[in-house]
Amino acid sequence: MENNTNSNIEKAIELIGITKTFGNVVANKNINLDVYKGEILSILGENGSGKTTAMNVLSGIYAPDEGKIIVNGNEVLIKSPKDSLKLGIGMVHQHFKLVDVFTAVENVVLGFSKDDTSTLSHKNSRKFSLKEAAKEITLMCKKYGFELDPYKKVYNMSVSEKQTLEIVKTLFRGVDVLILDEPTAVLTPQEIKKLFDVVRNMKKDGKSIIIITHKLNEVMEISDRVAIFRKGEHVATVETKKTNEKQLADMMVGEKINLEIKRSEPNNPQDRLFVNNIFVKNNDGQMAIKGVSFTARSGEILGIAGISGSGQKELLEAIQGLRPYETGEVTFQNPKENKPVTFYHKTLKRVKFLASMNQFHYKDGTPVSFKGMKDKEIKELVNEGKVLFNKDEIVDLKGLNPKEIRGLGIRLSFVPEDRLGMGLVGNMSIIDNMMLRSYRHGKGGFVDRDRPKKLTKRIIKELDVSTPSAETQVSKLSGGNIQKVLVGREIALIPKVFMAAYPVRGLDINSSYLIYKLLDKQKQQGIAVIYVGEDLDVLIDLCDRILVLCDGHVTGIVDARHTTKDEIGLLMTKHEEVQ
Amino acid sequence: MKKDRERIIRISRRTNLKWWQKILIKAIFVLVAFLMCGVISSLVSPGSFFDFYEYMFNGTFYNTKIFVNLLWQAGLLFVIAIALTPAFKMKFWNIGAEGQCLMGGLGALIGLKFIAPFVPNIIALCIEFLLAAIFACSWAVIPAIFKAYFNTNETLFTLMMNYIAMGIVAACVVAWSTSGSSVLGVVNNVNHEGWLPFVESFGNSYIFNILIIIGASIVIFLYLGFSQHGYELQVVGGSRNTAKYLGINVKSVIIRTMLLSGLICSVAGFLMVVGASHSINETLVNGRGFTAILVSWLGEFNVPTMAIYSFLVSFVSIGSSNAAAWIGYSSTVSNVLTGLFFLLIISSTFFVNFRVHIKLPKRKKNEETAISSKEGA
Amino acid sequence: MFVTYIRGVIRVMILFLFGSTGEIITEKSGHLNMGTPGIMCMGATGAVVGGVIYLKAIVDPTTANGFLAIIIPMLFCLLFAGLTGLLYCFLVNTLQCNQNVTGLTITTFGAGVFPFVSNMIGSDGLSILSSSFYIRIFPKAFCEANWFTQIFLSHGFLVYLAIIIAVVALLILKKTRVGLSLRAVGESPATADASGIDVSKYKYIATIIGSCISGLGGLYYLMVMNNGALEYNIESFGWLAVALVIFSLWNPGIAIAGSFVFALFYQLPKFISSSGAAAQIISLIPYFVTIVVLIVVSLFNKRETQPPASLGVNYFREDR
Repeated sequence: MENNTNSNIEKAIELIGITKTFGNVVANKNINLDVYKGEILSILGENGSGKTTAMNVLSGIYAPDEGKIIVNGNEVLIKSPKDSLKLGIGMVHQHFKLVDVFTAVENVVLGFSKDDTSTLSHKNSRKFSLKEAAKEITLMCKKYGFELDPYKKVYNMSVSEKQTLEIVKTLFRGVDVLILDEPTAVLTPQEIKKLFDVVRNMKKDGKSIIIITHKLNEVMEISDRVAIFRKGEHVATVETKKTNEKQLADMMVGEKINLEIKRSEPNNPQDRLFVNNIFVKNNDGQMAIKGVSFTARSGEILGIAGISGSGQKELLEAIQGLRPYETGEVTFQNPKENKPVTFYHKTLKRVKFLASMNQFHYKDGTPVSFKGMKDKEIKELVNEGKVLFNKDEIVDLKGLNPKEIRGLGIRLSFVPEDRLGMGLVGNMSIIDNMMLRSYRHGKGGFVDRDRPKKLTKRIIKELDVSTPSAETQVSKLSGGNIQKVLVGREIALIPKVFMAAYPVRGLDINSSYLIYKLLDKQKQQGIAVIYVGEDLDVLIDLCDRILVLCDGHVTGIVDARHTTKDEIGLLMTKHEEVQ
Repeated sequence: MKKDRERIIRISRRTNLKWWQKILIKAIFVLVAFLMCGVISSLVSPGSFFDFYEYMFNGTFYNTKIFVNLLWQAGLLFVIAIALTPAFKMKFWNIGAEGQCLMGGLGALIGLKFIAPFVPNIIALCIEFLLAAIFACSWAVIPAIFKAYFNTNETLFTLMMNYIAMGIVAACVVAWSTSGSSVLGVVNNVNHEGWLPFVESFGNSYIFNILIIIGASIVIFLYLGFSQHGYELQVVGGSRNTAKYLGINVKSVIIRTMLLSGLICSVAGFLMVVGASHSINETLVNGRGFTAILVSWLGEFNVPTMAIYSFLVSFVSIGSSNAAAWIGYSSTVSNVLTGLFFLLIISSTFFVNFRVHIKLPKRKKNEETAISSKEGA
Repeated sequence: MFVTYIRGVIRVMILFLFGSTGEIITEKSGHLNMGTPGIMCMGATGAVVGGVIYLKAIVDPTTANGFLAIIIPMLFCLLFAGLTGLLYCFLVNTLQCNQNVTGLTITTFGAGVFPFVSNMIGSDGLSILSSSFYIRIFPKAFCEANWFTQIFLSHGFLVYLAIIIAVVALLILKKTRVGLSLRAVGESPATADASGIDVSKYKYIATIIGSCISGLGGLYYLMVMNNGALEYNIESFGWLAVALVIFSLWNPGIAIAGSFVFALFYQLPKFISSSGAAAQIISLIPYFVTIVVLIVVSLFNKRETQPPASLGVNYFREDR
């Protein structure tokens, strides 16, 4: 595609000296940025680098502390999203701004007032008629190649349908500049391709498109120019043709970074967790996991790949005991062979029963039978550590809740997808959040805050959590720091199985690599790690085996060292080919 | 678009307020509220500005007896606020303290009327309290059960329970009152069977009641701050999913916490009947259940802060009705002034949480001035 | 007998209907206004103030002009209720205060102001003014024609006004651009804002109009239900009106039927003419019914019957 980005091309938008602070945090510092007419501009930066803030200023969500905005050569004042829309600037936010209980067409005409003008015919601008609007939407969809049912309710829509609706909504207003905030984060490779086609169509139509992203390959694929943001500042703008991924990454982070993930060899893998043919429902009562079986091994990272919403969440929650499953089972193999028996999780009665089943031996190898012994003698023998298990213990986890699972002495760590919604309590301090796993250890019904306090200090130091104090509310921390608190706490459990769902979502590059390193360290210590990820490159570089989920089925388990992105991509969408 | 439309006032969230600045802002608003009371009084009855405060203090600090009465009224409000706090921390919006206390009072009265004359005093007191607890707890736990199992809206449920409690008490009064007078006289007026002992040197004062309230508040303070139960209910309030993630039984936490709420409400009901009025009618609680909600909320669920607010509110309420009586206007003014007091305290939360920037139109940038409180930045 | 009962039911129903229509409009903008009982009290206060001002002006109550006797108390009622609504909205929308606390305070405040003000300025002659309010709008002969006209067509104008307001509110919410925008504001203010809707404006206007409608309930209570006599029992009616909003699933059309059902139970003790303790217990039926309705609504959890998604949550644009 030939394009020339010389100075003779007209500027659609100029940001001059934009500064925006939130309390003590400087989100944007003296941003100067030009957007040309009819170009695709990528804004590249890590999470928290201020790219979304700058665009929110442009779309009227935030009022800047300082600075000027110039649209089509005139200085303008944008006080609200309405002003911004009037100037022909529309934004599709990362968290969609749609009314769930409305239909598509209701969402589209929302906020459209009589005096708005637009590129389309818009009889609707005079008379309120959803029917007319629906017709226009259908016409517009044809023009750009969208698929959208105007009468579908938003809460019945898939993520990509919602995104289509968002784009239609802004186009319906006749915008000249379209801002897309992380548009590809939740789409499949096929959907991304379709989106990019639409974006190119819009460019041909003379519109300017700004894409906010942190994915380097997409920047290279779609954009004409790239503006790089770092720590609230606009550090450079380069032409896409004249740069490469490595250079962009270095500019984005501000130092030479190593984009390599170190993968250790599996550490003496042994079967740890068996999932056998389970069926799990999602919150809407639909089957999300349809007969999944696999085995997770110690000292190994098992990756789970799949389009988001293929049942990853339900699978992990079922293993944790958070979600019931009627058919199938989950069993845990507790590594007890030649380990001493304790009363910690077992009653005397249970120990006697197991001994009668010939489950134990003495240190010298002779089998244990407590026949004719008094309870006191048995207790002594056990407490002195003289009674050992013959083999690993197999525990059925079906029907147990997380508390009961821990009561059996089985430690399953879990870093859920929705950190503040599950796993942490946003309005409690870091210390109180550290205590979540251990508060029951206090004496006499009271909680013991000393140990969590020490743990908090240790984690803040070791994982480099940036926080004003250990008493700070977790919800006031940034995404990366919240994740460090959660991962730190789960590692501190010294688990046998470590499960993490999208642990690097929303994290900057350095935090992401810290998390990868921590996962690998867990594996080296003989823990069975299950990692649900979305970035296929990372999955391939980090994991030992990769399980691919598609629509609740396992479509394959591949060796990560000998697979390709294409192979996994095919497995991720296998059912589509079947249909 | 013209430049002159630029916004002059801009609001942003505050994150860096120190504790003393917070207290200062609140204190300023409390002072303003007190000033407003006098202003309103002089509007109603011109020239009564200073008289108003004089009578206000006379009605609350004049002698020991009057002061102990203030403490008792404040304590009553305080103990109901405390009863609500565990539920609020769990994000269970119990606005049914009115009914829960009233039912507690009814239970205590049944003990007082039908059992106390026949048993030793100490046993009578125990039975009265037990009955109060059973009545109040059942009133609290019914909405909790429906909330736990069906997620039924607890706000309106508890509110309706208030009116049902009032109706039941009214019906009981009608049934028990002699000659259909619809008024229940003082029970056991002669020999004081089943009455809470009172300290003679203060007259018929409420020292004993106040001590019980202090005891209850210490228990709740420890429960909320340091017990595993108190911690669990905060987790449930903060995030249900996180509670599940830990294997906390959310349903049982909801029910357990509301039982506790009911228990403390029963203390209030018990004290009102056995320790003060020795009788009952449907307006026994007299809106304290609602005022207590405001106290608990504005005190940010913090026990000492709630104590301070209870005291201030009772001071305004009792003082102003005394002033109204002496200056000569309707004593219902105390409700108006209490409402006003709360409105001002509520407004103060804005200045604690937000910062106002004023940009004067003609000048250039960098001359933003921050007002709203007396901090230099 | 039965005709009198149903007529009585309609009389009470209108109070509920004013209260709940006002609250529905307010809640549609995302404001859970627990101050509605207080706002109804303020409306009644306004009616007293307006009435007394008019009475003072004409000196002799018997010379009252029917139209002015209605319009002046009504204007003051709307003014008082509207200003209280404005105060509520200023506190929760501009000053970002907690909605529940602010609402409860408004209720405390209003419930205090009504008796205080009316004690202070007196209410002599209000009962004479009140006759203008319940004067029938149809000719007497027509009203008495048969049971149907006796029940439905023999009321004062406020009764029909309440029903018209509810129907208009329903049409606006369902059929117009303004209604769509208002619903969007209550469901997701961030979405509405990003679509160019002035969220604050909608919240203010909806809250003030809703408060005015609720306030008319206070006027109705004073002038029609109590014929100008001062009774201070509005608060409990107000709370039932708030509960009725849930019963109506935020739909003013259902609110018409719902308020009728509530009033049916409310008037039951009078119909079966019981007294003493039994009457007390029977008068509790509306509260029981409300509880049953709450439970039933919670059992059938459907997407469309849910409250506006951002009900009770303040909107601050710059929050992340």
